[in-house]
Amino acid sequence: MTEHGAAGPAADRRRGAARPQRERVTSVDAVSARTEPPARAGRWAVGEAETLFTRTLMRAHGRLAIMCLVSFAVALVLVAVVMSRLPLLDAIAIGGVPLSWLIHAYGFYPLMIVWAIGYTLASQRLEGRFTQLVEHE
Amino acid sequence: MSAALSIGAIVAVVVVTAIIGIWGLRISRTTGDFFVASRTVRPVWNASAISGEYLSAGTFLGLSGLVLLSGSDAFWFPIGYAAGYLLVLMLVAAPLRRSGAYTIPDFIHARLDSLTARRLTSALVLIIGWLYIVPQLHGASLALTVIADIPPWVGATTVALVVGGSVAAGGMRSITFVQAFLFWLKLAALAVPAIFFTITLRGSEPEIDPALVFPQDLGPAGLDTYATTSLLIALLMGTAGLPHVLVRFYTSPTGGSARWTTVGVIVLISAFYIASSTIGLIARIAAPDLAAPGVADTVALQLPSRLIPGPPGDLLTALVVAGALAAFLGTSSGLVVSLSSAVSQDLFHGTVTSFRWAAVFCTLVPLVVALATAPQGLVASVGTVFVFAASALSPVILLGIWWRRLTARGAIAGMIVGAGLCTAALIGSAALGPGTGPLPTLLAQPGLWTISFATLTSVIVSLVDRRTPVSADRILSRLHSPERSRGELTTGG
Repeated sequence: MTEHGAAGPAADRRRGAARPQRERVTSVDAVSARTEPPARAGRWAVGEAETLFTRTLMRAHGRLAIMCLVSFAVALVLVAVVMSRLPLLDAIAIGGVPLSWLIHAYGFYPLMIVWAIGYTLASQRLEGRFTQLVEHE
Repeated sequence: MSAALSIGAIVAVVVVTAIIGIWGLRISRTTGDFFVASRTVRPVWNASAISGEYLSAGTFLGLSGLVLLSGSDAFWFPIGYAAGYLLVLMLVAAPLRRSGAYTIPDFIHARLDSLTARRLTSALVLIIGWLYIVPQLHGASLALTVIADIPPWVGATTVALVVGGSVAAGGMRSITFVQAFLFWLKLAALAVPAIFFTITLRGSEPEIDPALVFPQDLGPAGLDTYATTSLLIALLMGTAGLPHVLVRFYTSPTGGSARWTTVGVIVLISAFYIASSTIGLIARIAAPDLAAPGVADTVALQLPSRLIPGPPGDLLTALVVAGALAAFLGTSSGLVVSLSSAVSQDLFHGTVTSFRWAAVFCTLVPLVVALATAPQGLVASVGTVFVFAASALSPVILLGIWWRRLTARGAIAGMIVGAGLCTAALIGSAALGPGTGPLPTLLAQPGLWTISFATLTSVIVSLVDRRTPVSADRILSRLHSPERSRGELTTGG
């Protein structure tokens, strides 16, 4: 079996760049022949500066994502604790439905929307700074 | 009258779906159109399309049924489904779009440079997809049986035929428009009746005792910390591992637009879940007699005729039926698109003809399973698929995007452990039956420990293996760099 289309456009570009690539023809039972990574380190090597750059951006992205996820989890737990541990909320009913049930049914979605927009704006800023840095170089 | 209107609504949805599909077919010209809609789908369309295929029978019919049956615990399902997109937004959407891959197996192959990992991923994608389609077909059987006493096989077969046919004909590009239409239909089909029901209930002022209709032990006060946490983590992580969810991000023009698409999805599905949850609350007030397993899932279909007598009620029933059909069609066709992409790329070199045959094959298998099995609770069935996806695929996808040292062997071990443990837990839970105590709870909600074990296995095996693919730095650089810095904004990816 060939690896045609294996990695989508990335593979297309590779094929386009240096055809024909007979060494990429393989088969299901030739997996053992692939225990070592293909010898293409030269062509695929990434510069040290680029690696450092990417890792810095990745870490920044990761930090932002974790910060947002953790703060969202804290908010979610807080709302869950309030709605499940405050007997007062069971006593107040709106349209016959206890407030605790209404919070459970509707209360979490606004949080998600706020966090989603906040994260997306923050990540846009982050990538904008990164792109500016690249363009300055 | 009611049955005729409902069947008319079904025929109308099928005809409109077919027309939009055929219109899409006229503009689907290239392989790129078929697999990723040529990566030109704008956030609003894409968000509607993603929501259209994400909102399945599980939440359309199942959520109100589960609220009726087991109380406010049911609300955790839509909360988890929606929050899953928050996780996708923050950790998956943009990098996956920037990977340039067509399918999840493509991504795993490119990232780990391993055919074995690719094939295992393909197998898991197929299992997850098929498991997800079966409850959709069950829901179709259930709906048609309720509204017109039609034999169960007719509903499942109709949905399978429409889905297989439209996907094979138009591929991803035409399905994108179909899905967007189906989302708005689904939202209207729950929101409009919910508004009418609320007005009717307010007008008639029924004497309800909140303590009886909304008892404290079935409300938020009866929260089980472990079961809720485990379920939420499984639903959150599971979204990131669903093949039909992830394939949609490949159709965005850039990583940035993939993020805004995800924000749009969170807004749209939140609106839908709010409508669906309202129907659930109203069901507890107006139809407590339907609170029985098997029957509860039909409550959304039965409420209109109970609350609003005469032709207006019949019209609302027809609208709900049309929405339910949209739910079965939307999710099933989204799944069949992604499964067909994976199968045709893996087995038949990714040509358009193979995509069409794969679509037929990927629809037939779950149809046979659906016809041979009896419907279970729809929410629970869909929830099970999320737990499986979260255990088997999500850890590897997340580690692949964020951890450079992941190796092919680590990924393979993690997928096997996650899938194996989850399967064992689900079989164990079914064998034990419902019960209280630590063991039945651990087996019924295994997400927390199966995901942890799968992730740990991947990490430990990768650290011992140390055969990090030579292309890891290059691929991670591609995943995490904005398009502008790579000069790709104009060329797409």
